[in-house]
Amino acid sequence: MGVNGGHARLPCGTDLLALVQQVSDGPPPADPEHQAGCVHCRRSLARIRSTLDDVRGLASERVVAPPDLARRVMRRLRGEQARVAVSASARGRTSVNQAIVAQVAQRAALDVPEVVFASALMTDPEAGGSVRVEVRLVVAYGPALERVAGAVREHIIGDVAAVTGLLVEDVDVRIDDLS
Amino acid sequence: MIVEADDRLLVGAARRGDLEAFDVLVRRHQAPVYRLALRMLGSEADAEDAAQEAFVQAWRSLERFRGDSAFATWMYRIVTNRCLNALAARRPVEGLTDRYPEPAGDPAEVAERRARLRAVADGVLTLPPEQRAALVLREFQGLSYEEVAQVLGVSLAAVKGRIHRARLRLIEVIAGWE
Repeated sequence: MGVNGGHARLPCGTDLLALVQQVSDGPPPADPEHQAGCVHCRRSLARIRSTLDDVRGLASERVVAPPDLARRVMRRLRGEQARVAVSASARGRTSVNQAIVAQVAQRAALDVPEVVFASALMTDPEAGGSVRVEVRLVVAYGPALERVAGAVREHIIGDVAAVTGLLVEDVDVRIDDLS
Repeated sequence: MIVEADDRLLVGAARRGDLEAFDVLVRRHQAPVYRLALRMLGSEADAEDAAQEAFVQAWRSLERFRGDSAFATWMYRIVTNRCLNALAARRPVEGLTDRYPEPAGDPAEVAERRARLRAVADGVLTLPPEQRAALVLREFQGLSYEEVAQVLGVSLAAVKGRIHRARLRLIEVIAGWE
């Protein structure tokens, strides 16, 4: 059945679907003179307009996501990440989630003023006690990219050690873009 | 435009496995994704489930996201399909409109407006699922007909037909014709 399929007609013969189209998308009526004088058409147009106004009213209502939707999604996804051992003793082992190492590294990179975007990944989770980090950056336009890279490397090594106790053996800094 | 570029950067990072970048994408897109699910399913709990599962599914299939459409459009496709599946699995006897308790007969203008908008929300829930998806994407998510066609994977003509029929049916349900 097409848009102009022959269902739902008014007593005057006008196709209701055509009236709906006219109100929503604005093509001019096929028979403006009839429409101007026809009580059925005018009453129907008023109904269509008022309902579509209410649709727009509902559409403009603010809908906020449940407060913990994002947190629950992320907790689930972080929980699936591999863990890396920090220490082991007679009293138990400590390990951290790889996602935490990446998070600490990313924030550490963003602490360097020239860094405007940072994306960090922990690679090589098996390395006993030490880890590798790869960080991709967008850096503010300016001189001394090598100095920025060096500062990022130091921040990451320092923060990851301070927060997780893990030794970062290698930081691969990739500057992807300047802003 | 800046927002779009940002999404691209974040999607690129997330595709490499960066959960922090994906976290930002989830926070940025959760409200429209949830609203879409809410208008499709009518229940807050079901909408939250659908939105949550859609984001998890998105993370798992990020490598298949080519970036030829906006991340939002791609998310809409995932959550719309989840909602259509959820509707297909629902028992037909399950009443939808009774999930919205009718407000008491309050003469105040605010209450009257709320009742009218509630009637629209309830009316949307009586539409056949495919018409409902097209109408919700157009009217509530503000997509163009072309974008709706892209999300639903059907032709532009089919989308326009579905949306006009959905509007007509909605008006029939809400206002009636005498």
